[in-house]
Amino acid sequence: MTTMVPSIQWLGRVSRHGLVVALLAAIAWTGWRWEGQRVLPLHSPAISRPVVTVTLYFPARSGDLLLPEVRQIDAERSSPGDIVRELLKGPSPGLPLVNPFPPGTRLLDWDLEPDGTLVVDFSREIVTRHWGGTAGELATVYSLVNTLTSRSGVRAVLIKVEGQPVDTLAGHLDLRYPLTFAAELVAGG
Amino acid sequence: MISLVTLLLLVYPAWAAPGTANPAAAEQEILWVAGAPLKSVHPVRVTSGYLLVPAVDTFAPLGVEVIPQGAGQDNPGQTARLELRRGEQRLVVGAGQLDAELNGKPYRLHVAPVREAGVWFVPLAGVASALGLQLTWDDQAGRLLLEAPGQPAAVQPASRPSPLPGAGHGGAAQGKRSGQQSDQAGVARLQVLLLQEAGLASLRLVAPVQFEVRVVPAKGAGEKEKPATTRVDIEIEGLQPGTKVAIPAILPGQWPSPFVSLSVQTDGTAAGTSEQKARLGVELDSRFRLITRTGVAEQVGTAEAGVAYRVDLVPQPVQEEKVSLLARLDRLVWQREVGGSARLTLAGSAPRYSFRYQLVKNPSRLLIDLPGTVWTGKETVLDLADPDFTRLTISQPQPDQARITLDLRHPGYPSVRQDDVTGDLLMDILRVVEEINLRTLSGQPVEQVQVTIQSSGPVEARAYVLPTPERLVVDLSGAALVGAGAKISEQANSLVNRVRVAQFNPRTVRVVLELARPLEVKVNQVGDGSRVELFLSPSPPAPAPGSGAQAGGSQPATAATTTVTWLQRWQAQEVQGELPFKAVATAAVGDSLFAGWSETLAQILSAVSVSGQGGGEGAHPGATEVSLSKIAGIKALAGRTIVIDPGHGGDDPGTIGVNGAREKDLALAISLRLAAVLRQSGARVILTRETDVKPEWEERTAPANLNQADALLSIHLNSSPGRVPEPRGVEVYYHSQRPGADQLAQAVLRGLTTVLKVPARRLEAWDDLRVLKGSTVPGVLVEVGYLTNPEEAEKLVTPEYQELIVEGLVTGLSQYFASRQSKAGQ
Ligand SMILES: [Zn+2]
Repeated sequence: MTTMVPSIQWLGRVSRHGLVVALLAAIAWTGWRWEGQRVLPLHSPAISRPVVTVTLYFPARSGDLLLPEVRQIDAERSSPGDIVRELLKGPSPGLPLVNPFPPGTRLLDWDLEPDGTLVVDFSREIVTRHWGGTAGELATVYSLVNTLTSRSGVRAVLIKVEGQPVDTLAGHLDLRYPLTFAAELVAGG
Repeated sequence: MISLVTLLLLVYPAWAAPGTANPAAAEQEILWVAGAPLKSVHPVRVTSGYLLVPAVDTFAPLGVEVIPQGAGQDNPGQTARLELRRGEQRLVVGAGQLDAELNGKPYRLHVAPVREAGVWFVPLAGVASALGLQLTWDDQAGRLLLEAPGQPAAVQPASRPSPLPGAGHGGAAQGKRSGQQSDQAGVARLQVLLLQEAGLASLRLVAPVQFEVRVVPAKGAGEKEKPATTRVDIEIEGLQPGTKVAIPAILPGQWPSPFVSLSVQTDGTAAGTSEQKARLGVELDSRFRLITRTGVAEQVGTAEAGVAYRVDLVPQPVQEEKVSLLARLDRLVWQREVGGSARLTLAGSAPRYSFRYQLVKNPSRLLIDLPGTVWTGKETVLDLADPDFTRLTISQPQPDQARITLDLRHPGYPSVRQDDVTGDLLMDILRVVEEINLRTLSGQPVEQVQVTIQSSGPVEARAYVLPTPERLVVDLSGAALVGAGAKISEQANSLVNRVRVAQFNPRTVRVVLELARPLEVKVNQVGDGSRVELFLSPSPPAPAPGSGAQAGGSQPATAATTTVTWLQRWQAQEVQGELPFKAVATAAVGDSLFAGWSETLAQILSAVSVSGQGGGEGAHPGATEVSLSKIAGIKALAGRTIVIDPGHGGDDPGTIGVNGAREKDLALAISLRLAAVLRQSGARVILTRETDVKPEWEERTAPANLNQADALLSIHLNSSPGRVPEPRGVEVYYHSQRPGADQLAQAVLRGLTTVLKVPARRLEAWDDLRVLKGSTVPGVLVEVGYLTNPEEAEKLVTPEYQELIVEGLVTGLSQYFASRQSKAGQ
């Protein structure tokens, strides 16, 4: 694991969420280079339990792209549902990322179908408190879809609200069918 | 679209000019003032198609004070000026000047007043309109009636009782008739009238006897003929011996006229002597042709066995046998834009409808009359969920005039405007901001200033701060400045440098206080909401930043910011009370140039308007010109089927802007404007919604599919909160599997970014967008701007910016279709 994120320096105790905030992965694409492998201010854990590294996609504060934040979470609590809950907490403070989820949004349920479709069921806030706009809707939906489909075993994501299928979150994007990873939205993708 | 007024100047034959031997009597009788023929030794005159009338003789009988002003009288060095005053209305005109002043504000005349030998001649229609006088054309009697509203002129008793039973004598609205066809002296008269009314320009001949008319190619036409004009002769036979040919009267219709010149020959004999024939030489703008309406002869003066002959003019391309003389009105659409005016879309045969409006009391109702218009439906009453109006009634009180009656929710100052682009009527009930008072409060520990803004009724107020320089802005929406504007009284103080007030947009008055330093502002809107009070005092120093919050005290006061706190705020609700003042208004006659014209005619004229001809004489200052012809490839739109899908609607507001604007409302407003312009360009347009409803997804896509539309545009406004910097600009999405969609998307994006001068943020194939996925035609989803960006949001709500968006979209569509045409042609 440390081979994956070699520059992490453990400095203190576990953060209040019981997770470790790790670094933003180094990313680079034409025209823009993220400033290297940077050590973020960390509360380091006195780790005794195994952790796994997950990549969470959040919208960049400037521009339209999704940027990955790499986080380490408790290995025993790293199911797709746990990852959605991580996402719903929003990006770690200090990163040039924004939270694409409307306030109050909760994960109600999830289910991984045999064909690799992950069904995620959210509370109604994800619709009722969504700010709208095609850009806004794409950011919310693909934060989720790209994050979850980066995991092995998840091929596509189907979003439901309060247990029901939905047409769209905010009036643009067709959510009746499972969605797959959108490389167009990812920096360097 | 409006600056056409003097494009075609009427050239008058010498006999029509003032000062010739021709007796003035005939033309004087055209104008009746307060129920009697104009009494004046100074003949009315015609300039550029407008009647100039002697000011004193014409307006004094109606109680207008006519006061020559300043140095004009005997001082050639300065422009002579004339003031006309009626009640609260005060109009000041200058000799030879189109620019006048109405209640201290600029007012533009279509033709300049003339002062000759101490006598003032002023344009009849422009002055009448400014003074709130009614100018109507009595079709039956062939007269112009100038009256003060509310006191209809006494109907002149006919010289003889009408022999026709039930001929509406003095009864129906059109019952004004008399034996005007015969002179008192018994001399027969042939009246030549040039009219533009109810959709057509016409030349009408009226005489008290049966006569015959033939239209023949003009004698000697050909070599002298200018290519832009055509000449025909109208031969008139069977006239009574001694018939005089009366001077053409130019009526307050809409010019330019297709008539370029007129001349009269009276069978070789001198005027006034025995004659039975007359020949009228007519020079016409070549884009028009004459159609004679044989047998249509209007029964003007039937009672006197008079016969009218009518020659109508229609533009060349018209194929139909029958030309409708009245504009058809088929549909009304009521909308209320966010923080904007009520919008009434009139849909029917005319691209624009002329209108006039007036307010009646008890109960307060706004009457909007549409002359020359036929409502094709039944009388209909609509209940309106509108802050200003409770009910709309559309009716047809006269055969040639439809009426829209709006019941007011509460009294106020009505304003009805016409959208330059769409021709929609925009209505507001406004309060008048009367006074702004600024005074220092004594006996306070720190200097305190109270600012009071007094309006004639409740207004919705908004207060906010703009930095560098520090300004406090108070926007009063639903308010207007009238007359000389609000009275500002200021007391010297050290907190406010200056107070400014202006009409920010047609329904918002903006008060700006320039602050000397950061202040603490408390706002109180008391009582019925008509008074906004601001209490200003210096801001306490801000706490020092960083840790140790209480350590401050030594922090410089410059760190403070202006804060605004509301103590009490007025909420809109039904208000009872008297009107602040009486408000009667008539839309200026020249304002709706194409009212009632057939669509083709209007198109021809608007094409003329952008070809850059014509002097600026008739140009309306500030009028927006949508010059379609400057858009490259605009012709390629003709015959295309375009579906416009205004995003969201009904219970789905879409995104809400930082300024409160709702996506659904703006998308609809832009779409309706777009539809109007596309239709004007010959495209067939289908809207998926035209009101505030939320269509099913199939209803958004089926129209495009069923009609095999050439393009589908889904109009949206964007949102992306929390970004730094706030994004702004345009995004266009398309479906990768719809042939042509990528070119359409590119063209639309280019059109918008070029016209709007905003960044192109995204051009992307996104196949999972619902509206694009469900349609089989080339489609784009266009996000025209960001409502999360404060600057862009402010622009997006303005009609001006929406017009630019429409221009950008039309530009993109035109280029797309033009490039496809050229490809298909290869
Ligand atoms: Zn939208």
